[in-house]
Parts: sequence; C-alpha cells; structure tokens
Amino acid sequence: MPHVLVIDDDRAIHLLAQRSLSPIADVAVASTADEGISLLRRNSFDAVLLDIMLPDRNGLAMYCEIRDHDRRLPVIFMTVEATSQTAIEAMQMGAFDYLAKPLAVDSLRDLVEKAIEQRQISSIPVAISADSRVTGNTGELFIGRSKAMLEVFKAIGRVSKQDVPVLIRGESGTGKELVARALFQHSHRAAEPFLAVNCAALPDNLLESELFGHEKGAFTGAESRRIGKFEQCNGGTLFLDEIGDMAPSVQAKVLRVLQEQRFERVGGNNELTTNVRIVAATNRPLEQMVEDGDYREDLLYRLNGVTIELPPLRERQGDVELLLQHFLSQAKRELKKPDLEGVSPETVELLTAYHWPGNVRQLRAVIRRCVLDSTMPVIVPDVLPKEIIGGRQRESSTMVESVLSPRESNSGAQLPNLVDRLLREKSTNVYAEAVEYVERYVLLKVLSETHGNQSQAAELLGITRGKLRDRIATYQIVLNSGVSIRDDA
Amino acid sequence: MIAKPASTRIEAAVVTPEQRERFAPALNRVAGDVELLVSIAALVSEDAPEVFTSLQSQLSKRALSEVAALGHQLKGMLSTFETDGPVIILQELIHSARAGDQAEAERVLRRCNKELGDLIDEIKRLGDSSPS
Repeated sequence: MPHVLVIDDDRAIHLLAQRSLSPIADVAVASTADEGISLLRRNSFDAVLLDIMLPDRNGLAMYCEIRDHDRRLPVIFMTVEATSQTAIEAMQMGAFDYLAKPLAVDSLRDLVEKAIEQRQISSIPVAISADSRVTGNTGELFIGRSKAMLEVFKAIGRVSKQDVPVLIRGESGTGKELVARALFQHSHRAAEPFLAVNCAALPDNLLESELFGHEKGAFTGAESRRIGKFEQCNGGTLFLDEIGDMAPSVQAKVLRVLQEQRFERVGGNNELTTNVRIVAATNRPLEQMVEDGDYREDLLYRLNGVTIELPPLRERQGDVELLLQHFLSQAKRELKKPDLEGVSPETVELLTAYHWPGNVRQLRAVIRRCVLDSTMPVIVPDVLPKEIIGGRQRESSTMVESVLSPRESNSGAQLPNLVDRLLREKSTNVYAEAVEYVERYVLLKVLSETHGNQSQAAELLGITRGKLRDRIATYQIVLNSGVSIRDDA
Repeated sequence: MIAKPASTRIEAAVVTPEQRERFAPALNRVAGDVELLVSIAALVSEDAPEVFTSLQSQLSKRALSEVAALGHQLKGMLSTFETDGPVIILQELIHSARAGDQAEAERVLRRCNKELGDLIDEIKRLGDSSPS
C-alpha cells in the first residue's frame, strides 16, 4: 500500500485525510514542519499533503526542505485561501498541485491517486533487459530479445540524452509509458520533474488549461490563477500520452511550445517561456488524421523527428516465454505464492500461440490471475481464460458479437450478462470489454439520433470529429440510411 | 513506526433532519459520510473555541501577525462546515491584520463575533450527535 504523509496543524484534516484515503494509502500525520521532516527522514512516502501555513514554518520553506530531501516526491499544497500566492509559487517550483480547503473527499482521493501514480512513474526505475534473469531488480523490467525490441532498446539509448522531442507509437498495452520513463530516467533531465498528461482523458478546454494554466476569470469557474504543466515542468520532461486526441486549438499551442518554448496561460496576455522536453505517445494513425484535416501536419513533423515504434506482442511471440518467466516470478513474490513451481509445457504452448490483442499488459494480467487462481504448484491450462484455451484468433473488440446477436449488442441491455460471462470465463480484460460494449452502444445511439451526421454526433458526445471517425472505424459502424454494425464484425 | 491520528470514529451517529439540512454542503463534501462529519465536528468543537479566544486576546494586545495566523487557522477549521457568512468575513480580518490595520481588524471582528460564536455552537451540537 502506498504511504502518504499529511502535514497540517488541524486535527480535523488529519482525520479527514486518514478516513478518505484509507482505501488507497496508509496515512501518517504530522502537526508541524519539524515533525513532518522527521517522519520523511525515517520513512518512505509516495505523496505529501502540505498545509500552506504551519506553526513553525511557512509552506514554501517546508516545500524547499522536502525537495532537498526527495526531488521526486509529489507535494500537494492545501490552502484555505484559494488565491494563495504561495501555492502558485510552489506550483511554479514544481509542486504537484494544490487543493482549496474545505477539502472534499472525492477530489482529495482523486488527486492523491494521481500523485501516487506520478510518484511511481517518475521514481520506479525502468531496467532494460534481453534476459529476465535479473536479480535484485526492484523496479520495472523492460524485457525482449526479439529483433524489434532490440531496435527499441537501441533507440532509447540513442535518443535519451538528446534534447529532442520523441514520438512513441504502438498499440495499447505495448509499453509506451515504460519507454517514456526509460527516456526520462536516462536523460540529462533525470533529476528534474517528469509529469504525465493523458490528452484523451480531459475535455478540450480542460486539457488546454491543464497544459498551459489559466488566469483568474479566464472562464466560468476559473476562480484563481492556475499553473499549467508546461510551466510546472520547466527544466523537466512532459509525457503527453494519447497526443492524437487533441483539439486543433490545443495542437496549435503545443506546436508553438515545440517551436519557440513560449506560450500564454488561457485568458492571459503575458508570454511565458519554458524549457520542457516533450515525449509524446499515440496509437492513432496521425498521418491519416493529417490527410483528413484532423491533425496539424506541422505538429506531426515536429513531434516525429525521432519516432520509436513498439511492436505488438503477436509480432514478437519469441518474447512471450521470456515475459512469462518474468511476470510469473514477480506475481509469485508479490502475491505470496512461494510454493508455485512454474507453468506446464501445454500452458506455455497455449500462451505462446495466443494473439494477445491487449499485448504485454494483457499477458501480465493473465499471469497474475492464473497465479491467484492456481491451487497446484504448476499452472495448468485449466486455469487459463477461455479465450486462450479456445485459441480464438478474433480481435477483442468483436468478442461481444461472438455471444450476443448484433441486435442484442446494440440495445445496451446486455451489459450485466456480458460482465457475468467474462467473470465466469475468468477473463482478465473485463474492464476494457465492458467499456467497449458501452462505448459502441453510446456511439450507435447518438449517431442514430443525428441520422448519421458526424459533426452533430461529435458535438453531442463532446469529442472531436477525428476521434469519432476513429471509433466508427474501430467498431465498423456502417452509416447508411440507418446506423448499424457490419454483420461480419 | 508511523504516527496515526487519534481514533475518533463515532458509531451510528444520529443527526437531526435540521442538522442534515443545515450542513448539507459539508455532508456533500464528505461524500455523505455522517459519521465522519460528526467526528470532525467533535474535534473542531474541542479546538475552535480555544483558537477563537486566543484570536480575540491577541487582537486586544495588538499582536496582528498572531491574529492573522489564528484567523487563518480558525477559517480552516470552520470552513469544513460553513463557507459563507462569518467564514468569509474572517478572510477580511486576516487581510486587515496582515495589512497592520488594527482599527479595521477590530471593526471586522465585531461584525462577525456573534456569528462565529453561533457557528462554533452549532458545530458543537453536531459533534455531540452520538447515540449516547
């Protein structure tokens, strides 16, 4: 369980944080800066919640001490004065974020979760290996000895110390974030901040504010100035995941940062400069999006000066056994299964033959599930998920249709049955398949409402037309007089 | 190894419908967890009166930097339960104390003195909302 330190002289905040965060972290508390520093020196923490005004120190002085102790420890300021200049200064110095008091349980938990994730991203070392037998490795291992992966490793070594933008491309689950972390950890900027933003996770206006910040009154709800990631990450590395899911207005601003390292906060006139290395990732067809007018050509060329292509696992099946050994020993250790001896040859054969639509992430999840479910010292095919035993070679996105008729799958009513079936089959992809089912239903419903008009549908859905087109293609939705899914899909 | 906050969990807290309505935004912020809100109220009702008394005392001694710090502390405690009225006026008190304006600080405190006392009493009654 991650560890979070709360430094605040208000006992009520201690209680609130402990109760709110108990599902995700162990919480330790300190009432003064001295107590906090003492706890930091004696224990290892994954995030700190820091009051802006402490009895023995002001928050900024305390923040500097925390930075001296551990530069990568995410610090979230808490302030009862939302416009606190100290909080803004702290953000400019690299603090993770700040929260206005009174604290709300849900937003506190969400933000701390993000901070813990950030801590893991920037601090857990990524080791690169063509051999899984690495002893004493406490970080994450980037494994592969196929030709394609050796090329990836060489590219990381070649470009990590160059101060150029890097575009990482590959299917979901291939390890794009690991490449970004490896690039950062081997770069000259390794001691500076590493921040990650998922461009697909935020609506366009919020993404612009998240990246560039905003001035007070820039839009409804902008009650105070906010520092964006480009400003906060000055001197460091910014990982822009899902860079293909970005509105044209944000694309233009990112391009300007890439060209001139200059930008303005939303609603601001002051030109700010920053020194950020951008590492971007996508699984979208950016060239096609440029042709369709959904992506800026100049941004694409700026981004892909250096491109690292991650191969899907099905194209490097020779690596499956190596990854299997690694994930097995990791799961055995982490899930406390010391009696587990290994995997039967039949199981290895099935795992190697499978096409792995969810790539390495799916393989890892399957192994962990097998280790949890197995009561024998050797993992036999019986504990494998059905899709692997059956050797089905269909893409996961079409799995719903394999058990449900298109009419049923389009109605949206079969979600409980789908989840029940996936659980029965010990699937390790329940979340992704359920989300796909719901997403397809929503797309069909909205497209039907707009009689197939994609511009109107994109507006109703709150996504870009490019993103909608991408999803239509993914789900093989046919737009004719009605809206349907292709029968053979 | 790691210090934990004192356990103040109150089982099966009972609050009146009026208290639920009065503190609805606060309850919303703690995701509807009545026990948590009552536990926080119990702590704040122990700590806030002392801070409020110190604030009044420091103001009479013209120790304005202490007044600003105590005002800040009190605002933090009370804002869990109330974000309008006296809590907003407390911010004015903090500003005037930071600006070194004794007369304005006294005027502001006079304006919110009774309301702050009433709010602390309401929080105390909420903190007492345990079954026994």
